Amino acid sequence: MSKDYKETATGTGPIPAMSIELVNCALRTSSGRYRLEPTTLTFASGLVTAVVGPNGAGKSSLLAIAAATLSPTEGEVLFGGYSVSDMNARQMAQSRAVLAQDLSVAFGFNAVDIVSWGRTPWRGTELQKQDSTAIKVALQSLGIIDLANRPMSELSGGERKRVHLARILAQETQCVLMDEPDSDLDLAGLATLDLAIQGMNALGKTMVISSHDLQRVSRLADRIVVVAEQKVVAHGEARAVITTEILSEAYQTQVKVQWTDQGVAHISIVG
Amino acid sequence: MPTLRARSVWLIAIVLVALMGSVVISLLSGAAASDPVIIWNIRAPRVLTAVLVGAGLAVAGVLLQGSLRNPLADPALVGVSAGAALGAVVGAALGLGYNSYAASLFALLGGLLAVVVVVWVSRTHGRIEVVTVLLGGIAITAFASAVVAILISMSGLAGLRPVSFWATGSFALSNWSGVLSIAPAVVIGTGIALFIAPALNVLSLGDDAAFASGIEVGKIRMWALGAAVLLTGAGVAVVGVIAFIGLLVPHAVRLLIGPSHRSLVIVSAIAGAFTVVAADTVARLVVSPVELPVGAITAIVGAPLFLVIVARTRSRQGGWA
Repeated sequence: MSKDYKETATGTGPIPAMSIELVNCALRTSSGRYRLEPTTLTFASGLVTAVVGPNGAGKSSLLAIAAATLSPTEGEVLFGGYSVSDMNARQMAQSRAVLAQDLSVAFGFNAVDIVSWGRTPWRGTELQKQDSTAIKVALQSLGIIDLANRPMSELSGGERKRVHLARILAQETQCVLMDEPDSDLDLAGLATLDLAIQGMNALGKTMVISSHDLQRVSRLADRIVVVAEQKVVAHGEARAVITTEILSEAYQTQVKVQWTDQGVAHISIVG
Repeated sequence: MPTLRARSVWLIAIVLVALMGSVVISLLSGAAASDPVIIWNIRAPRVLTAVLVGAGLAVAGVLLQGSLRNPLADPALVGVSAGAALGAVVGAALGLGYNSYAASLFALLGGLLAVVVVVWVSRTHGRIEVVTVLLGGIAITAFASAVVAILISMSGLAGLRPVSFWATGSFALSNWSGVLSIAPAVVIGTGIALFIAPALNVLSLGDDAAFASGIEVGKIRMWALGAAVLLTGAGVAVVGVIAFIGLLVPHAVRLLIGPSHRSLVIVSAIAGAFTVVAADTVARLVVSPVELPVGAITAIVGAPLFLVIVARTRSRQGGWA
């Protein structure tokens, strides 16, 4: 079970291992219907886990519960073994960063303002000294130094996503969760996103990413979680889960999966 | 182009000079222009009340807009002012004196009730809808104003101020005890605003993303709304409802120095004070000796500008969320 939470802020250096565990987590509507059936699973430390499944299957609920932005109606979520119910918003934000689907920002803030908000959880700690470095590194990593002083309202959708990715990088957390980060991105945007994911993974971060793009996910993710009809129907290594049988069943559509030697799954619809 | 920080400093200096100029003009103009008794007993508390009310309404606007993530929020438009007016009138009907702390307390309760209702009706799926906030404000204002009118007609108390006083505001009844009842509220409310300003910036991301960045969203919103009610209610209890200051002043300041909340609070407080002193001076002098209602002056300028802001906001967002 969970340990008692104390300060886990550790300063810089190698990122300590931190998994996200769901213990019997379920989400019910007020009428008692399940939006997510009781689920126990671990998003393993240092690995990229992709959450896939049909629309409305419960991907976003699962991700929001794992991110602790949504409280499950039953069960418990643990960050690195500590129950999130013992943490405040700031302590959670020192553990995990979240890229939501809604990236709108009110009022005319500049890109660099938004990136700097990633430093919020470290205000008043030792790490605050590194604010300006962290912000600069994040802007550089996403190639948006030139956009820093432009208002968000003037940026394209892809540029805005990069600004938010930089914000999450600047937050310097062990875990990163992204809800369909690849939606509405063009090819260049996807290339940037993949580089960002691989870069964060190389830093040893624990990553959870929901997506509809099974082929990209097969290349990027170490683990796959398949959600269908409000429950987790498969969880494991990509090759073991992205199969003709599992996907055909989950999506209620006859598909054919072929893995290439480069470790990419090609998925085609049969019929 | 000068940096935003340099522009903020310049703007603070310019607005401070404008404020002092307007205060001096207001103190020295009118009939019996330089009679020290009139200046000290009548005009000085009046001008100081205008300074405090203007600063309070502008900062309340910043707090409402920031915490509701709604560029169209204003204490009068979301119903806080009318709720506070109702509270003050109920207090008077119960025999409390005007311009007293007890009357202010009733105004605060009325304002608080209004904001709780508006936020409650406009919450859906953890978000607060822009349009519903304003619709809720319309309903609350209509209801509270009606009750004010009924209470005043029925009670027949000589001490009750006329319905028009509560609807469009006036500084004509300002005195030193009124100044003393508003001042602490404005100081405390502005202090809270400055303290939570960095969190209000992050709140621009929306509730979920702000929470994921370490902001206790519910707590910050409670402080912001509470401070907005304090800043509005204390003023309304003394001078009635003055609309559009909380909407227009933060808007204009944002255009000049950007949206960052700490400088927005400081500059808006000074600019709000200036705007209301100027509006009151116009109200007092333009058709002297007849005095115009100050809320009518702010509305005649404010309402058209509100429409411009509505149109701009809608075109930028591509519709309402």
